[in-house]
Amino acid sequence: MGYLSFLPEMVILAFACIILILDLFSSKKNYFFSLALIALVLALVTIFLPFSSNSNSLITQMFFRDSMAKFFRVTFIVAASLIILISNDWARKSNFRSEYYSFILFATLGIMLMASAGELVSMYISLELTSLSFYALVAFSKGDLKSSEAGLKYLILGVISSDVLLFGLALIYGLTGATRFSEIASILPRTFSEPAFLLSLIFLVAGFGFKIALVPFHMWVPDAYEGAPTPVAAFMSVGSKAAAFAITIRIFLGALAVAQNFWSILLPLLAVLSMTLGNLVALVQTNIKRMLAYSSIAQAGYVLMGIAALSAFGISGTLYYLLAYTFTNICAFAAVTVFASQTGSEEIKDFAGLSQRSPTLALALTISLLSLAGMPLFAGFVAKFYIFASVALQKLYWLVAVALINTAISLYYYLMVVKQIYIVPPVSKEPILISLPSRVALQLTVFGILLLGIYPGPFIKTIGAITKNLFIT
Amino acid sequence: MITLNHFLTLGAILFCIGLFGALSKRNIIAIMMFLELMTNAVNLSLISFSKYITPITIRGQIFAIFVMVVTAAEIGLGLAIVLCIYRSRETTQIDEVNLLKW
Repeated sequence: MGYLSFLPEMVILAFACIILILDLFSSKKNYFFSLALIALVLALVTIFLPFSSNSNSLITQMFFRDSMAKFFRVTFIVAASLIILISNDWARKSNFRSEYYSFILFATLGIMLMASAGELVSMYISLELTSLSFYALVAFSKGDLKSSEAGLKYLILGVISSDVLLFGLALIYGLTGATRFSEIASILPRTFSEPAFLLSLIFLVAGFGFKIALVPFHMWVPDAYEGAPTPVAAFMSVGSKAAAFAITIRIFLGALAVAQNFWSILLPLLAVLSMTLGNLVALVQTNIKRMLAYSSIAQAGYVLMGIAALSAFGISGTLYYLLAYTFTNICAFAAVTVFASQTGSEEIKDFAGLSQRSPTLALALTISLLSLAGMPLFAGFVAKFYIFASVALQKLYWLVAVALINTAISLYYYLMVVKQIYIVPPVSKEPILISLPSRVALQLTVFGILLLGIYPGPFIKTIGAITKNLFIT
Repeated sequence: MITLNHFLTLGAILFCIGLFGALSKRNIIAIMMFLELMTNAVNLSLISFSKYITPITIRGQIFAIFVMVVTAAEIGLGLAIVLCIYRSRETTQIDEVNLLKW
């Protein structure tokens, strides 16, 4: 009966197909939004049903059903619901509403399976399910050349990186003859000094680095985010990034834990590169989506520091950061979505005087930007503190110093937007109206940011319990 | 006698040709073909690993079948996007698709 623990995934899959099929028969298109929301709420409820996952059926061997998987699945369903709420304004203008919502659901399914994959084949399939949905979603605005171009670039680079990753997986399979993470971990000590293993390690780092958007592999990110519909960019920045981090934790700390000496050198290096380059290039951006794209590259660097700390405390920091980042980034992108759908502009200079045109929107955007910068009171502060503390505990003081300098740099470009919002006088006084779904999404994310920033206790406790058993060294 | 090493060498060479072609070609359709070549190089390695290392469980062959399906889907989606670009731009040259920079 192990398959019953997959009920949330099954619900989402079923609704994604139902939405596609219903579109063939109905002329009215306005209920797909509610159907997609219902699917996610149902999935959220079924996650908490107490199904046992201990049986030895094939599918429960391919996916972990542990508490970390549960944490990520809940986070992803909440994120996807928020994305659907902010999509409504944009999707109403599209002729392909049902396809849009079902792709969002397929992407949700993909990231949920990614976060729980326990075996190479299932990991690859769920990773590709996510990627394919996102390629289609990025290129979704059919008449918009920017969108098609972004989709094409993302697809070509994404397929190359998948192939590189796949070659790495094939080599690991060849060295161990196993595909399950636990088997690989037990067989690998016999073969891990071979040169082929080093090659596969490099390929894995490159492949996952691309999905996470770490610096030498980040070139697709700004283009894909700028060209994609804004809600899709929001979903990519939180969903696929967090899922790729989940897999990275599972593979590197689970399957490849014996080879720690080889890969643990790379992580701080990649973290420093991502933070520094992401923040420096973000300084000169004029388009807010591109700025948020570079900021998301920098944020990936901070999160990677948590893994580089190589301790249960560091992994807890990573999970907390990803949770905080989900709310923060969706809030920022939600504000940009509302603004862009009313004014048609995504340039930072057009945000001038937003506080007079819509105080609510201005406040929400300011809170999310300050949280991204890591100011106290907001989720970003606790998350950064958590990660920096875990790195400092491992005596990697230089890494903390670089991260602190980077935080100062990032404060500059976040505050430049806040300055536009509050100090620069507006060009037009026309008020910006926020539709009901977007309003709900903004309120929920701001609430999440403040809750995680002011009262982090229960969350830290839950996450601590998740990572306690994860780390064996 | 053809050994595992021969297959792996062939796979690695094909992979490199594919990577080089995908990064150096200007025509989008040609890029897609080189992407296929890369994937098939990996498939070759997977199947030869499966034949020589785990001849009984054949996990590598099953892996390769899944990879083929995924690649077919990827290339199908890629061609759809190319068509979309071709309709408005009348071009399949990758360097003429250059709206997004820096």
